[in-house]
Amino acid sequence: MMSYRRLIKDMDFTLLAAVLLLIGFGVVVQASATTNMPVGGDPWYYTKRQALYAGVGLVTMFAVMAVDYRTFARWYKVIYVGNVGLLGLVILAGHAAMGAQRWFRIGPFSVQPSEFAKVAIILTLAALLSRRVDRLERWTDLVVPFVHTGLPMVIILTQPDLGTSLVFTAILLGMLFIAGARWTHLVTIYGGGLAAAVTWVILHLQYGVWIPLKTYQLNRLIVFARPNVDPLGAGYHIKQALVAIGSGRILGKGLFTGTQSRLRFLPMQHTDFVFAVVGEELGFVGAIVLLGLFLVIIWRGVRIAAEAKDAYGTLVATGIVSLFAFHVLVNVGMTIGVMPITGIPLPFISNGGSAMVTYCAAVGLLLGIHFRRRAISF
Amino acid sequence: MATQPGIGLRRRILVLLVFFVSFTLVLTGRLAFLQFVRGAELRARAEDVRTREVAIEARRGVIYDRMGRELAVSVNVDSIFAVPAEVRDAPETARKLAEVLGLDQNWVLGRLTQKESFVWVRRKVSDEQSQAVKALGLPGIGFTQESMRVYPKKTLAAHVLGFAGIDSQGLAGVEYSYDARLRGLQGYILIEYDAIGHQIPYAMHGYIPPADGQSLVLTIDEVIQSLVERELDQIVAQHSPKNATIIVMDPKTGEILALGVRPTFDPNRFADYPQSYWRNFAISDTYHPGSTFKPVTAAAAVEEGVVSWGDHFDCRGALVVDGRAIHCHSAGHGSLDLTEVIQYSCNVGFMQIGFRLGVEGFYRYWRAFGLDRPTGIDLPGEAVSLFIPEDQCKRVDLAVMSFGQTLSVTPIELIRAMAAICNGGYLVTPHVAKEFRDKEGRVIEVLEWPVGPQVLSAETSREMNRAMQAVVEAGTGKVAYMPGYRLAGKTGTSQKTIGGVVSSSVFVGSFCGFGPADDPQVIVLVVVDEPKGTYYGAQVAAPAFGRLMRDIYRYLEIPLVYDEKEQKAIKERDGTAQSEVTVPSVVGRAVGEALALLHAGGLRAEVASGAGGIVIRQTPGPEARVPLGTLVLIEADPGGPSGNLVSVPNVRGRTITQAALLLESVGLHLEVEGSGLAVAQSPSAGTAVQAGTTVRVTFEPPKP
Repeated sequence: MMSYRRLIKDMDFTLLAAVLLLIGFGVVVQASATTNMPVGGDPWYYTKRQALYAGVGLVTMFAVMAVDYRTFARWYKVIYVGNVGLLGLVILAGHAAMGAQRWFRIGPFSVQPSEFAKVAIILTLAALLSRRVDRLERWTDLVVPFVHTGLPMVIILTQPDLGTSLVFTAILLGMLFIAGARWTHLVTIYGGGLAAAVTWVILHLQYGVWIPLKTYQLNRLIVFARPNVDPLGAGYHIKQALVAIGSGRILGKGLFTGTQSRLRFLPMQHTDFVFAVVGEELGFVGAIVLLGLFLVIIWRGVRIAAEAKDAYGTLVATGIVSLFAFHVLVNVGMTIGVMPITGIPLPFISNGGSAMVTYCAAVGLLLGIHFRRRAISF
Repeated sequence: MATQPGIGLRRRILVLLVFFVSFTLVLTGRLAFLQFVRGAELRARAEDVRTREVAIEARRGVIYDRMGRELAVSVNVDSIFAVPAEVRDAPETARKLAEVLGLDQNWVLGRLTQKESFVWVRRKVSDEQSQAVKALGLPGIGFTQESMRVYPKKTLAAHVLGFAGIDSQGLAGVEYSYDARLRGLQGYILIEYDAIGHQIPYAMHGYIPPADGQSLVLTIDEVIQSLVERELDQIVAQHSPKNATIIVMDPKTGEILALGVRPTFDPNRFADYPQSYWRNFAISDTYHPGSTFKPVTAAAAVEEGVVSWGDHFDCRGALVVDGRAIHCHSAGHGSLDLTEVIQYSCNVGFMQIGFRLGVEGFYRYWRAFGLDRPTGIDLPGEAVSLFIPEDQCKRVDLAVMSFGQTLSVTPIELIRAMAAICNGGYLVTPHVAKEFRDKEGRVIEVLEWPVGPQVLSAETSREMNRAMQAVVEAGTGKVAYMPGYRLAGKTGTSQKTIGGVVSSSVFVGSFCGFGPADDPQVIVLVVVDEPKGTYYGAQVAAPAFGRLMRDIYRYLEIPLVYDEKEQKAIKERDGTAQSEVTVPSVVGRAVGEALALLHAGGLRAEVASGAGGIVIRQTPGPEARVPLGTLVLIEADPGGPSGNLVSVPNVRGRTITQAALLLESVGLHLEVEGSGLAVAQSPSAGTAVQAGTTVRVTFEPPKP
């Protein structure tokens, strides 16, 4: 069925090229950001790992593309139950690191089910919503989608992983909007939620009302609101990141020469704060190239959503675009001080195997939907 | 399965795209603001403001003799500093510190009240002082570890080694000339500070480790050097000269095997000596070489073909040059051939040789023997010869210069010229550095030293050696004669020029000689400046040369070769039971000294047991009569104070296992107290202790 000619004709090469460039970009930046922190004497440890993840990711991408995406709609209940089960299992039997229980150990690798859950929730929520397109007029119509998304979200929140749970709310928002939910309802719910959260935090701080957040999470929120309140503690990360990016100026200090990252002033320089390394070493130009590549993914994703053969394809594509957009906006946003610090990675650039495989699978889905699009062009 | 996406849906997709694109633009704007508008300010902050560098001193490289014996090492010691702002009760603190450290109380108070963030109280203090100050627990007083140079052999080769100052900078000798490589590179700890100077807790700190200095292997041989020191001590005891030097060199390569100078100093306490004692007389001062210069004149004349060995020279006690009578040291030698002129050091003969050579010829060889310029030896402060410029040289000057007066050379210049005469005619570069090694003892670089142009033919060199051998066998140098040694050389006694006037009461006695004459392996120059009483080179310098050569031959295992005359003499003597010797007493002496003494007495000697440096027993015992060449076994102490001293390593911050391994590696034992990481040790790091000593280390669990 997938002949060679068809593959050439129906492949979205723009999207593919952007993703390949991003993955390559990521390996180079990993090399620059991690050779000063060797593991077991090997300065290239993290670089090699990232290259390995990229290889596994690309295989996954093409495998997912080859499968007809509508198959996932038919199996959505199995996917949903399996996903929730896996998330539950990690709480019971997972491996804890850095104060959170998010990982399974498999040989030398850690697997993070909450990453896979992002794609799982897109596939299952799309199946749910595709039957309700333009029938989401009433408040009550929104209950089922919210419960559907809320269950895995709450499990992840207890790991605790605030950042990943917020990704779910973003996916839900994007998909509900496309599926035809009233924007007034959405604004009310999300606006109200945000207001409630802020009120809760204030009540906690003023009156000690119980809150399901760890101290460091609270501190990050406070620091975001008032950056100079604690420059040596919770504000340290963001200050170092700002100094790194700002000192990169237009062309940067050059790969392997960033003082902030090489002298290890930058926290989590190869994971959550990797964008600061890009800003410091490659400057404004490098940062804009990186953002541009992400914008290409979002643009092609939106196009694919519009051209999809059916509502399921449109909704899956929308969920994936929301996923990437949220990751980039929040990750870059926190590094340059316009978002509070929530530990979510920059797709394809941050070091991490589960994330790499997840985003490659997501791109595979987009490519697959494009492959099976309607003849009419947008 | 599901409905087709409708028009409304497409519109919503467009809204979503616009939303994402606008957010990306917000990010871009913020980036531009940070990198363009605030870029310069943030870059400055990244580079300077937040970090401070704290220097970590590199350890100076070890200096070894040619056989790998340590001549200079570095040990860790504490230095005491103060942070004036943190000192609580300055007068009381000053009183306590002054008491423990033996300093002036007001001086200490002055330092403690300076408006500085950091002042030294006292650097490189003894272990006891450091422990005592630590015990006081004074706020604002801190300790840092520095390395201190130790010269374990004290005055031995002091002028070659030189010394390093308080900041580990080389100030004299090879410590100065090879400072850059011995010193290593300073390391730094980069510490991040906030705007008001507090160190940020938990912040990542950059660390640039210091690169330890390279180790230097000298051409000096400790055994030969100690023989030289012994002879110098004897010269000082007998003749009380103003200065004295002995240089021992390999004439073929220019390697200095020993170089000693009097007066001398202990580089461990260099500041306690007058600066004049640091002066390296062997290279920094010139003297009239006198008759030791004559071989240069003779060799030049022979090489030029203006005299031949069969020529005869008539000496009637003086020669009138330009209306001035210049005297020989004899009332008249009569008719002498060239060998005899050299053998009896006849001034009148040499004046005639000088005239035949002529001014141009004399100066050409002066330059060829490298006497017009520094030798290029790798020690600081080399002086250069003084002489009348060629175009101002009058006949009388040539006459006097021919026998080594008027002109002045440094001892090192003279020994180089003599080496060229005896080694087949090659001008070598005298040097003391052999190679550089890294901390683990691997060779980094073997230094190459140029051997200059051939200035004499091998033939002339051979003939000169023969003539100079006659000097020792039957001429002015006979006091140094020993059968079988084939020693050659030239004595020298010169009048000093004081204030431009040639003195008739102040002299320099010297001897420059080498051996064996048929294949010179060692060349020695002995210069005794202003000896009291007797002053002839034959009396003040030649005996030292003879004793040195006797011991050096035994140490270097240079075989003795007897000519027919000598063999006959030995046979005659053997009949009179001269083949027995008396064993000297060596108990209580240093092992090296004992071996040299036994060798010198015609005995063989071996260390039978003991790792220390002092002889505690000898077999056969003192005063025994034994045949020549008998083996004497000596027993050293198991590790006396001058023997296996080791420096206690710093184990602070290490685990019990690491500390045990570290101590074991230098031969010390560990006594554990507590658990966790080492926080204190006794004796403290850098203390010199006997190998096998137990070091008590206190461990504490690391604080979170």
